[in-house]
Parts: sequence; C-alpha cells; structure tokens
Amino acid sequence: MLRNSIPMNNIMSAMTANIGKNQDRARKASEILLGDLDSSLAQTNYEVIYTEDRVKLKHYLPRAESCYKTPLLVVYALINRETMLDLQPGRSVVERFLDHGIDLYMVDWGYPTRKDRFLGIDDHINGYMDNMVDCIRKRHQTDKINIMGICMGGTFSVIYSALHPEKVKNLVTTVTPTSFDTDKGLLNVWMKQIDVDYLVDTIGNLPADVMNLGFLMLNPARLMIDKYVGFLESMDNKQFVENFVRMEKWIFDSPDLPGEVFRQFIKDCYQGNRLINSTMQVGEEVVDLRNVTMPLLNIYAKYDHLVPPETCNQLTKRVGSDDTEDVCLDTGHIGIYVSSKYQECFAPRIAEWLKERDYVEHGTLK
Amino acid sequence: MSFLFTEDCGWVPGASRHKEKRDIMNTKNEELFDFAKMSEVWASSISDLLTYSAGQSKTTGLFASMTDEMLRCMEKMGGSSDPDDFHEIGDRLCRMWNEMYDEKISRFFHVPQFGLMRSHQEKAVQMVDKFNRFQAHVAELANLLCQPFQRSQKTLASRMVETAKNGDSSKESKTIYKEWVGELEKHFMTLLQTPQYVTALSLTLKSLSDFVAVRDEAIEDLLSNFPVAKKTEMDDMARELYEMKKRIKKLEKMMASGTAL
Repeated sequence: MLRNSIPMNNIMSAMTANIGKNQDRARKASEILLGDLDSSLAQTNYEVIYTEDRVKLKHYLPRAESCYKTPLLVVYALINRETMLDLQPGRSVVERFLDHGIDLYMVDWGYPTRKDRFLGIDDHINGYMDNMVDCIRKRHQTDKINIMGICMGGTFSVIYSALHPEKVKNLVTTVTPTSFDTDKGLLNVWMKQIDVDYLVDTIGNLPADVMNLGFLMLNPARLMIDKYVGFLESMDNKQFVENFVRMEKWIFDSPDLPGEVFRQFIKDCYQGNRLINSTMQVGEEVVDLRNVTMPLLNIYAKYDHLVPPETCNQLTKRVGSDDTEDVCLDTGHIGIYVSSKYQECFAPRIAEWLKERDYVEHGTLK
Repeated sequence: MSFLFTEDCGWVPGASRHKEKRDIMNTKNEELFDFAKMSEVWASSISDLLTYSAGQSKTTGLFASMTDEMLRCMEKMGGSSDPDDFHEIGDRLCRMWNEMYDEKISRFFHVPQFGLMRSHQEKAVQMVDKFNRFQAHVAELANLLCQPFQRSQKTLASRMVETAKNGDSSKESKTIYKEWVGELEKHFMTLLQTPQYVTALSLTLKSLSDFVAVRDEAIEDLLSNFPVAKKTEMDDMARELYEMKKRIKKLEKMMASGTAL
C-alpha cells in the first residue's frame, strides 16, 4: 500500500516564517472588528407610497431632473431582499437609475409569516403587484409603466406582462428563469425529484435557512470554505471587512417563502416547465407568452450557477413582441448587480434602452 | 459463559481464548505499543463472539455483521489506506443500518398500543421512529458529502508526493490550499449532479417531512390539554382569513370598476 509522504517539514517551516505576519494581521483585524464598522445597507432615500398587508411600495426620491415620461417599477424576487440593488453609496443600481433621471419604484415583499402560507403566485401577481402598478399609474396619470424584474421577480414580471399587457410599456428581465427543462443548473436537477406537495403540507412556508443552505450547497467549496478563508486573509483591511459584512448581512437576511408560491413555482416551473410552453395557469387565466407584446430586454449572466443562461435565453423566442433583445454578460448571478465592473454598464444600458423607447408606442403582434 | 470458535480446537470457552491472546502479547512486549496489532487481536476476538451469536437470531446476525464491519474499519487504524476504502465502509454501514432498522428495529415501534393512553403513546413512538429514519438519511447524505473531501485530499497528497519526488517542495501553503479547494470544488460539482446524491437529498427531505408531520401531531396532542391554540387551528383560521380577504378585495375591485351589484 502506498504511504504518502507529505513534505510536512516544508509546510511547517513556511508556517513558522509567517507567524510574525499573521500575528500582525490578527492584531489589526481585532482592532477593525472591535472598532466602528460601516456596514449599513440601502441608504438611498425613499418614501413608502403604498402598503398592503406585509408588502410595501417604495418610491426613491429623485437625485436628478426626471427625463423619462414613464416611471420604472423594479420587482425583486421573494427570495432574499431588494436591498441588494442598493448595497452602499457608489455601489448601487438604484443610485445609477436615479442619476439617469429615472422615476424609480421598488417592491418590498416584506417578511411572510405563517398566516401568509396560503398566498400563492396569483395573489402576488394579480393582487399585490397589480395594485402597485395601478397605484403608480394613478400617481403618474399614465396608462402604462416600465417594469424590471429580477430573478424570480422577473418571472413574476413576465407573467404579469402576459396577463396585463395593457399596463406595461417596456419589460426588462434580469437573470430571469423562464425555461426550466435543463440539467445545466443544480437547482433544476434537484427540484425535479422533490415531493413539494408533501413538504409544503407539513412545513408550510419554506424556511429561509433551508433555502440558504440549499444555495450554499450549490458550491460548498467556494461558498462555505473559500469565502471565509479569503476573509481571514484580508481581515486587516477595513474596507474589505465592511464590504464583506455588508454582503453577509444581505445574503442571510432572507424572508421565508410562502408555501403556496413555492409549491406552484416548483410544480409548474421546475417540474412541469409550463411557463415557457404557455400552459401555466395563474388565477383563472392561462399565461400565454404571446401576449407579451411590449419591447423586451432580457439580460442574463454567463456564469450564473443559480439561473443558468439556458433557463433565460428562450424567452425572447416565445413572446409576441417584435422588439426583443438578449444580453449575456460575462459574470455571475449577483455580480451583474454588485460588481464594480458591471456597475458601469448594467444600469446605464437599461436606462439607455428605456430612453430609446420612452416616447415610442408599441404593441404590434409578430 | 461465552464460547469462541477456534480453527484448531473448535468452540472453546471465551476466557481461555483471551488468555491465549494475552500470552502472545506478553511474550512480544514491544507489540503492546503496536496499536494496529492490538486492535487486530481485539477485533478478532469480538468478531468471533459475534459470529457465534449470528447463528442465534437474524437480528443479532445483522447487528453482528455491522459491528464486524466497524471492527474491520478499526483494524485499519494506525495504517494507511486509500480514502475510497473508507467511503465504501461508510456506504456499507449506512446500508446495513437501514436494512437492520427496517427489518428488525422499526417493528418495535409498530407494536400495537393498548389502554387509555393508547393514541398518545402511538404518536410518541411514531415520532421516535420517524426521527430515527430522518437521522439515518441525514447520515447517508453526510457520508456522500464527505466523499469530495476524501477524494480531493487524496489527489492533492499524490500530487505533493510527486512534486517532492521531483525535488520541488517549495510550494507555499497558500498555493497548496488553492489547489486543494479547486479539487474540492471539482469533486463537489461532480457529486452534486449524481442521481445517487439527488435521491439521497430527496429522501432526506421526505424523511424530514415525515418526522415534522408526526412531531407536530404529538405536540398538538400535548397542547390539547392546555388553554392555547394549536398550529392546525391557527392554520385553519389563517386560511379562512385569507379566503375572506381575497373575496373582499375582489368585490372592492369589482365595485371600483363599476361591474358589481
């Protein structure tokens, strides 16, 4: 049997050589961690203009003169919080939109409790979302507004646009899963086998910690080990520590997912792939993607491990709009919103695309 | 008095066999400090005993095989081995435990209960049964999740030996770590897509649901003696509230658009 002889002496001598450096780093790190850290999230000013149950509609106070006729409603996912779009001053999609003069609204889904377990996709889309859209339409005295959806919020936005096309002027989907019949993403592989009915019947809402554990398990080596090793290596850098803590706060600030939403999303999307085939039923209606006749900008990420490109890139081929555009960025699921590189091009690109269509009337079928 | 089977004498009293082994160890004093040798002797004795009891009933037989497997694993302590061997041992142990639990142990949890407290006892016992099954599935899943660690360490160790043989042992710990974490990620990515892992995951979730369902029933049973609302009662109320609100909102919309009444 082979007895592996690892050169432990070399490793040990290297460790000894670094002792002084490590001690110095630990001293600095303790000063940083015990001192004042600015890790606050979502600092851009806003007002709440509509509330219904746990759901709020935020309106961001303008920072520049509005040069868009149509306001923009951002619909975030029910998983994690919308604060990711406004991490910190200088690293905020919200700031970028406001600087471009967009009148910006954002859905805050709040924290579902046990009593919300019966709220399904229909209640969120034809209930809360529709009421918020009506509120903005009334406020701006306009028939249509722009909608931008993020991840699961993008899926909701696509469904909403198919059910209420008369209220949507332009649709922007970002990292939005719509076609689920692929084995490229681990979530797609795992979700096909789970008995979602039994799970929801017994536990009600899907606990946030269970979801987070599932997301960490998508890449345990990087997300559960390497990330924290990286933190140990740079914990003597105050700015790094602040950014790290901020991201940790955001990642683990997760609401539970209402049980009925989880049930239908898994059964109709992950297991039945009904949305892309226009056979998914929401409320009393079937979601026909050919009703999505407004201009559509579909942005997704090449290295997205949660929503792989294969789940996003079918949408533009199935909708009824003749003005569609796919944009694939060389980044991951979150990088698209928070990386400094994509901060420079993501929001400005959307702002420009919306600007080009702000005064144009659309609505022709293919 | 216990009997042990020896190749030369057949079944002999256990004590004499132990004495024989003690003598062997005393004559070779240096072997007292050889852990591998000692565990081999000890394992062999217990193994003999369990092999004998295997003939007595099927339950002890299954238990004997499983303990035997564990002992074989212990025999390897102090030596070096291929990490895959340990993974196989883990697999076999999980499988044998599940088999033994299904065939024998779980039957005790399904013995009919009698008397006034019958239904309460039944729920409590079911809860223990479902918890055991959930734990078994968690153990299986955990065993699978250990594989990438074992495999990445093996790959890295062989690579380090190779580089050391070539006279290059100057790699910094940071470089070694980066190589290891890269290997670990690769092995995880392979494992997490396998049908074996997906099945283990779905079985774990199902067994968790099974356990939660009976646990809630047992707790509600207890709570029914106290002046507090139970979970199912609260859920019923939440459902009624939800349906009522939905109707009111629909009516409000219809009234606002002038289509109602």
